[in-house]
Order: sequence, then C-alpha cells, then structure tokens
Amino acid sequence: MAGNVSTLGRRTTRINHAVTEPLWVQLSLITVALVFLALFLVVPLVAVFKEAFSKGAEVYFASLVEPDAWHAIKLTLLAAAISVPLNVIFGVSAAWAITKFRFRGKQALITLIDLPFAVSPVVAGLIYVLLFGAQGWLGPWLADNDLKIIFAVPGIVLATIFVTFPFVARELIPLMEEQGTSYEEASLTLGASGWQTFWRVTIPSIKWGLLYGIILCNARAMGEFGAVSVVSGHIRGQTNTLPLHIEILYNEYQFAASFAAASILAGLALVTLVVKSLLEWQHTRDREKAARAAAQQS
Amino acid sequence: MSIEVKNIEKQFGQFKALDNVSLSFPTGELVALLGPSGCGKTTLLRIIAGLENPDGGVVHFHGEDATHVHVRQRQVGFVFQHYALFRHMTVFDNVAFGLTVRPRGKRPGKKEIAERVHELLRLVQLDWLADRYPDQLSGGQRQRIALARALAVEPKVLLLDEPFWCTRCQSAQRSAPLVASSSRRAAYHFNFCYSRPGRGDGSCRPDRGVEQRQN
Repeated sequence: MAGNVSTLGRRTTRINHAVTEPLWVQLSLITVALVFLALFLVVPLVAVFKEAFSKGAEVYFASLVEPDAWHAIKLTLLAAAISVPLNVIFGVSAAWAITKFRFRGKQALITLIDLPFAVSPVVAGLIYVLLFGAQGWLGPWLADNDLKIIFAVPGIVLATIFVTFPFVARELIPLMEEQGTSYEEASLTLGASGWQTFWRVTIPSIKWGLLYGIILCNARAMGEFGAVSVVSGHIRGQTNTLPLHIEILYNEYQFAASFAAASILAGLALVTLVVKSLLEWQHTRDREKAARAAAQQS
Repeated sequence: MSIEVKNIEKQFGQFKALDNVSLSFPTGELVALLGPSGCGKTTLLRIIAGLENPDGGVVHFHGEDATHVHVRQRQVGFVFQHYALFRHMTVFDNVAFGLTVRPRGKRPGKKEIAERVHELLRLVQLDWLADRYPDQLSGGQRQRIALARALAVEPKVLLLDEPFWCTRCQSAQRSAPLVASSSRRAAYHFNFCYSRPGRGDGSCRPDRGVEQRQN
C-alpha cells in the first residue's frame, strides 16, 4: 500500500494514440478489472449493509444509539481528530526538511518515516505497552504520578498517530522533491519572509498532495484495529473504538449489531472517498475553466 | 549599484565550483558572464544574490560588505533559468507578489499595485496575458513575465541566469532588446549569465563579457 500512495493522486487524462491497445485487449483488461472490483470491493460492501439491516431498520438504529456503540463512535472520531492534525504538522515539516535542505542522515530519516508501514501494527501497539504499561519502562513512574496511558484514551491516540505517521509525509516528499527549491528562492529574492513564503508559495503548490495525504491519514486513523487493539484493553464504553466494538459484538454472536457498527465505519470511509473525489473533480474543473477562459481570450 | 566580488571560493563536496574569483562590476554596466557549462556561472550569480553562501571571500555592494546580508535585504532581482513562476498564481499575481509581501507600512495600496503591475506588463508587451496562469504561456512569454516580476520590486541589481537558454524561442530575440532598454532606462545593473555567445540579434550586446574558465 505504501508504494502506491503517491501515484494515485495524479491521473493523466490525455490519451496517447501511439500506445493504444487493440479493442479486444482493452475489453478483456476492463472486464478483469471490473470483475475484480466487484468481487473484492462491491460485494463485501453490499454484504455489510445487507447484514446490518437483516433484522430490520429498528434493530439497526437501536444498535447504533446504544451507549457503548455511541461512545465507540465518539472515541474513534476523537482519535482521528487528534492524530490527523498532529500528523499533518509532522508530515509537512518532515517533507519540508527532507526536500528543501541538505543534511546528514537524510536517508535514515526517510527510512524512519517508513517504519510504521513496515512494522506490523500489533508490534507497534506492543512497543507502547512495553514503554508505558504497568510492567513497562515508564510504567512505575506513570503510576506514581497518576497518569494513565495504556488501557486509556492517550494510548489509543498514540497508537493511532504511530500507524498513520507516514501518510502525509510520504505523499508530500515526491511532490516537493519534484518542485525543488526555486519557487521558494524566487519568493525570497522578491522580499518575502520565510513565513510568507511558506503560506503563499509552498502550501498552495502542495495543496492537493496535502489534502490527499490528510484524507488517507484520516481513513486509516478511523479504521485502525491492530495497534489500538493492543493498547486499548477493550473496556466497553471507555476504551473501545469502533473497529474494536465491531469485533466484540461479532464474537458475541450479535451479528446484526456488529454489522450495523461496521456499516457506520464503511459509511465514514465512503464519505472520505466521496470528499476526495469531489476535491479532485473540482481541481480538474478549475484547471479546465482557466484553460477555456485563456483559449477564449486569445 | 556597483558590485565587487573578492576571492570567492565555493565547493560542493569534492567539486570546486569557484576558485578564488574576483570581479568588479561598475554601476550601470551590462555584464555577461560567459563560459562552458559547469564552470560556475550560476553559482557566482547565486552567491551575489545571496542564495548561496561562499566558503570564502566577500561580496561588496556599493562598497559595503554584503556577504552576510540576507537575500531579502539585498534588493537583487533574479530571473531563474526556468523562471520559477508561481504556478498557482495568475500572471498578474506573480508580478504583484513582490509588492504584496512588503510589510504593511511600506506596502503600496491595491490600486497602486495594479497600476504598477500593468505598467510592467506593458513594458514586456504582455498586458493581455494578466489573467492567465504560467502553464498557459509559451517559454518566451514566461521569461518576460519573470523579468517583469523581478523588476516590480525595483531591484538595485538584476541577475539573469541563462536568460536565453530557450534557444528555439523566437521571443528570445524579442526580449533581448527589451532587457537592454529596460536596464538602461532604469539604470539597473545587469548581469547576464549567458552561455551561448553569438546568439541574439546584436541589439543586446552586453557592455562587457567576462569569461569564466573551468579549473
């Protein structure tokens, strides 16, 4: 997944006729892609909603307003609301440092940023338990100061930040590398301060990559299971996020309720994707509008 | 404004880009730096502009040491080799940029900025392109916009990095006399970094050429 992230955002709409395939090749490729899509994406999604409503709409809504479920939804949104902005700040500064400056250990930093993609989320969770847990290195100190991290909300937020760490930075690094430093230099020679350069030149030129990174980061933050599962302790109504809540219900054979909760999570993901598509659509439309206006003028 | 560089040294890793370079450019003179590619023309320009720090030596502006003056304060206009026009801004906003980022006290009013920008766009004969984005311009048009943008802040020195690298641009021929006329008119100090002697139509002969050699 990590490798694909950066290429998804940029699509070329131009068709090059020199490399067009024969019709039957086109058709069979499209069929394979569609069948694959239907089998692995559409059918499961439909199944989730079908199962959720299997005992009627009443059971569906009842299982959502139930206090534990409601708490899980709120906790999931809270974890995303904290970790996404933090990772945006981190991602932008890391990408900025890596692409605009020359320094020792740059490669090491890039590798470190990729670490959360390489490490299993369960291991990530265990790292935090090892650090902050009751038997962990900082455990006694935390207990003395009455601070609770593991089996509490801070632990969940920490684990979420860890797994969503690379999304923004990974999205921005290739983009900013390609753009180089000449825009910033031009801005400085024109008398702009570093801060003005950042807000008026750097941010607008990475805007789309940044938004895309935020959306991916958000999607993952809401859906994270492994790492959060290890640090949360599964305390109902306290440290259960939506993915954990779904698992518990499922294990208790409450299928309708479990799928209802799953449908909420799927719904959040769908909303995220729709927002992303809308943004992309608007982006291309703006560009086309500008191009048309220019064509009319000349 | 006169520029003097003394004993400039610059090294990139193992590669010595500039080795003890000393040059002086009197006020108002149009100077072209010539030399094979990789001989350090751009590096020297970047050091004069303050975009790069020399490993040794000093840069004097008008007799004053400017070696450690920040780019922002140097009042140097720089036209980059690939122009570096801000792609998310219209031509108008590009040219206006230097004026709009001034601190509030020194910033001209909106109307004044608009007048100034249109005046500069007329100077480079591209007033009709004000609402376009850089992506929608030809290479030569971009170059002239970059020139207008650099002139907007009334720099004391104007540095052009390979202004005519875009050899097939017909408008290179058109902007060459333009550079010369706008420089003389405003008594700017021009430094060309011009690696293809013999091109151009003769109306923009620099007053002096300085040849740099690879060491």
